[in-house]
Amino acid sequence: MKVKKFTAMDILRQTIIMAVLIVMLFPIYWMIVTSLKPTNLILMNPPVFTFKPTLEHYIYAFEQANFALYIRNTLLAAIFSTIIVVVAGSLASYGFARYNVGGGNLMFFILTTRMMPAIAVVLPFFVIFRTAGNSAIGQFFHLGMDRIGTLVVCYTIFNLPFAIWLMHSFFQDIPVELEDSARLDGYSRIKVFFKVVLPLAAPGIAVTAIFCLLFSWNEYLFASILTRDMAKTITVGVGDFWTQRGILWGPLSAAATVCVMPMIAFALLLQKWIVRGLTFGAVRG
Amino acid sequence: MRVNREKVISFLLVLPSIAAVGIFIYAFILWSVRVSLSQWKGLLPDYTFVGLANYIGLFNDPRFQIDIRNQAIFTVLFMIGCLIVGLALAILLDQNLKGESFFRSVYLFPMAISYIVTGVVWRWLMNPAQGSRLSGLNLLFDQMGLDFLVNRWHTTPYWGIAFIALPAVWQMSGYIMALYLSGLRSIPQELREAARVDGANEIQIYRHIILPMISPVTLSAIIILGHISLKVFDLILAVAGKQLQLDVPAIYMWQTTFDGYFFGRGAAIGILLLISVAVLVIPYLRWNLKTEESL
Repeated sequence: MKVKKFTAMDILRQTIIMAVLIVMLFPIYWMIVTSLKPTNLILMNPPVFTFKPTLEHYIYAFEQANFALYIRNTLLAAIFSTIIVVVAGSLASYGFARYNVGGGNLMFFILTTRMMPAIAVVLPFFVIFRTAGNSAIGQFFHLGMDRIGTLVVCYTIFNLPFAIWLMHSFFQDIPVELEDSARLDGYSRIKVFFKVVLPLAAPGIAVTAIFCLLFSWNEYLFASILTRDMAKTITVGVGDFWTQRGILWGPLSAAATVCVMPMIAFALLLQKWIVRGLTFGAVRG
Repeated sequence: MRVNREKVISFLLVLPSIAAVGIFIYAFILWSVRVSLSQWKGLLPDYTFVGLANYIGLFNDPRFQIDIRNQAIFTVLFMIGCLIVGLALAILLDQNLKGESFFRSVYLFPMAISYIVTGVVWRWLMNPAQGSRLSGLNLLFDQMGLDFLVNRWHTTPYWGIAFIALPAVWQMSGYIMALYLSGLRSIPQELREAARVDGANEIQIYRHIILPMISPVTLSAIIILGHISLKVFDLILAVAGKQLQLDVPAIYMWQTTFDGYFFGRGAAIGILLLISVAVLVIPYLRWNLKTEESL
């Protein structure tokens, strides 16, 4: 047996790995540091690394730019659309996985739109919602320009194909025999779905929900077109600090930090599941 | 004939999703196509048919020509950058490294960030100011004695768009790494052992055995990166605002439709983007679905 040597190759490898680590982390580190710096130190040259942290920019962001409202709007739009996507999507993907509805054609009909650029259809959304706001139905469902219901609809539509695609594989993994034996035990079809299928598919549904929340939270295109003030979301709100009087780096960094922290925490906590969702379908041996 | 109860139930399961996608995507695409063939300009709908006039106008429009060029440069650099960095990271991490899962999650985490925030951060890093107002990465280069690296980033004449690929690669290469990593994991260890027994060195193993085996991953990655690159417009807005120099079709579409109310032209740009994605994606999805069924 050869004793493993600590070669130049190993040192090189470690160096690269650490360098990439710094490259990945530094931008976010710097954003957080900037968000805690007193205004007069932000543009100092050379940059200062030691200072007394201040929360003034966060206070500014929440008082001047109403960030509490933006967070509330983003959360509402993300949560409601995710619930709808998960309910409609799990039914559909169960239908496709178990009954092969439409013999693959209907499934293809939905999945083709998974990578569609949203910008190709924003125009009809804009036209529809501009008028929907004045109708009774629009009022009831909070649809229309600058209303949260509008964002819920958009995010639902654009997450649905992805969700069906992802959940389909999880439903397919459930052995049919389990369902059949439950049926023989006298379970009704609905009971089989709720008592046997759903618990087994729960991890997959959770992964899908995580992605829907992530995509909705980070969405910019629809939010920038369909909201003005009342339904403004956090990604659009970040833009409040980069026009008229130049860039307000302090509040901008604070806003960006607020926008990013929940998602990073989320992603790190649920890393394993996210990797499965991300790499699914792209890999086959 | 008896109606098959099972068929009805299963159809009801998929109906809501089919209806939603059918109306809000397919019908809306048709609607967009119709608008793109109209002279609608202004707040009031005007569906007067003008044939392909909007499309022809676009191809003669100097701004749209810049857009296509910018989009092409960005897409190519973004793809190459992500593929190279992603594959390199995957190979690095695939060596039974200590703390591999930690590095993997750190490399992956920029993916969870919105393009707007990435743009904000890199706007600071890629500050083009020169002389005494040097800051961001330029300042770092300057102080490390790497003066030749000091540059004007996205304000570089003509090639500015190339620098936008930098934050995009920063954000997405971890994702490609994850794709490659799971591809590498699916290769049986015995295969490498056998090659080693036959006297192949590590580089030969990668070159002749592993890389060919993970080429389906590369194909998937190219498709994924290709459609992401068309959504880059929020990143550009956050790094530089709306500038002709860094214009891409999506920004043009946004401005002409929602600032200028030129709906006909906006729809035409949207449809052109849709076609370019469809050409790329539909054959791939067909193939993907087929191989999935055969598994």
